[in-house]
Amino acid sequence: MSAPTAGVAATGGRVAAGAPGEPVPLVDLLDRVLARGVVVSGEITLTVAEVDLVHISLRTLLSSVRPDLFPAADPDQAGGAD
Amino acid sequence: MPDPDATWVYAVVPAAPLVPLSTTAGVAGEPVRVLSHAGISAVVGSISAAQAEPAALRRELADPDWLAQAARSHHRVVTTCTRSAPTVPFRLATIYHDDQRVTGMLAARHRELVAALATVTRRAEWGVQAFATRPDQAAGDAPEPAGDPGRRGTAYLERRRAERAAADAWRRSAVAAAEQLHCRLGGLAAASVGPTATGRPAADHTGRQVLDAAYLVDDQRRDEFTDAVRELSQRYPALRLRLTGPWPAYSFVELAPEPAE
Repeated sequence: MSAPTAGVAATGGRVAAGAPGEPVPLVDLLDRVLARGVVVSGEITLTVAEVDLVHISLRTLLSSVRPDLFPAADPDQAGGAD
Repeated sequence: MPDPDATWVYAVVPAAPLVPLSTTAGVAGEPVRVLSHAGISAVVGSISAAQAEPAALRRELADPDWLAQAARSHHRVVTTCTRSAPTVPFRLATIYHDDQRVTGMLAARHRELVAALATVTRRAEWGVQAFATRPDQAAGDAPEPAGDPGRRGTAYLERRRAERAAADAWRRSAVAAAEQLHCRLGGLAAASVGPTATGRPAADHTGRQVLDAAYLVDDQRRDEFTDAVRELSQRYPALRLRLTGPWPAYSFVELAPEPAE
């Protein structure tokens, strides 16, 4: 299939994944849009270092106050992961 | 009078075929447009210049609700592009003063952007994370041995040492398994990053994550790749795997550092 959709692939076996069509988990999304993607200097963008800092501090914040956003952090405890 | 708007860049796509973006709204709810130069196009939207000021942007990025909404909007535009054209996604919050400077960027980085478009054509990114499964914890639940207190203390220390050694061995085997798995999956991909994504801090605060990799996979090998992940999850019981995707190729569009101005 040549049309990528942004979802989490569900597979069998012991692969933990969400169901197809589920919204992309925020933590996975932030890992990509904040930490990856083309970086060319805009003129009024924050520096790359600043955006990285946002990414790291946000991860720390979210993982402590919103563990539900972190399905990856502990798959042993994620509901229906298997 | 200065332009009251600034230009947010979502992605670069080939100029033709044009991406149907008319129904897609950007991070500020704005209509998304296309700016073209020499056969490539930037997918952009206008946001208010005040919002684009570094101080305002810093404040907004620090607001988890704003950030979540912006990340989802940015990603939605990028994903819409991938449905109809090869897409080079830009990092969140890449903003220019005006449209003209964006076309200037398309001109200045033309060769690299064309190469990046070729890299992502008919391919998608897949994320694979691996976590070490828990070691057998039965040892920790063993009843206290009977006997005199001195003996008990020694037994306790010995037991703790054995537990630590077992945990170390278990973790080493999980890391080794993750390396083998990464090697195998890398063989099915056009490119890969990992075993931990480009040296960034581990996503996992429990220390059990042993793989955080991304693979750029030809669309025609998609089933082969996802089948391999499933098969590998059975072959390596020390690992629990998590597969995400298909993603726009966020992890495979690094451009060379810009020439000094």
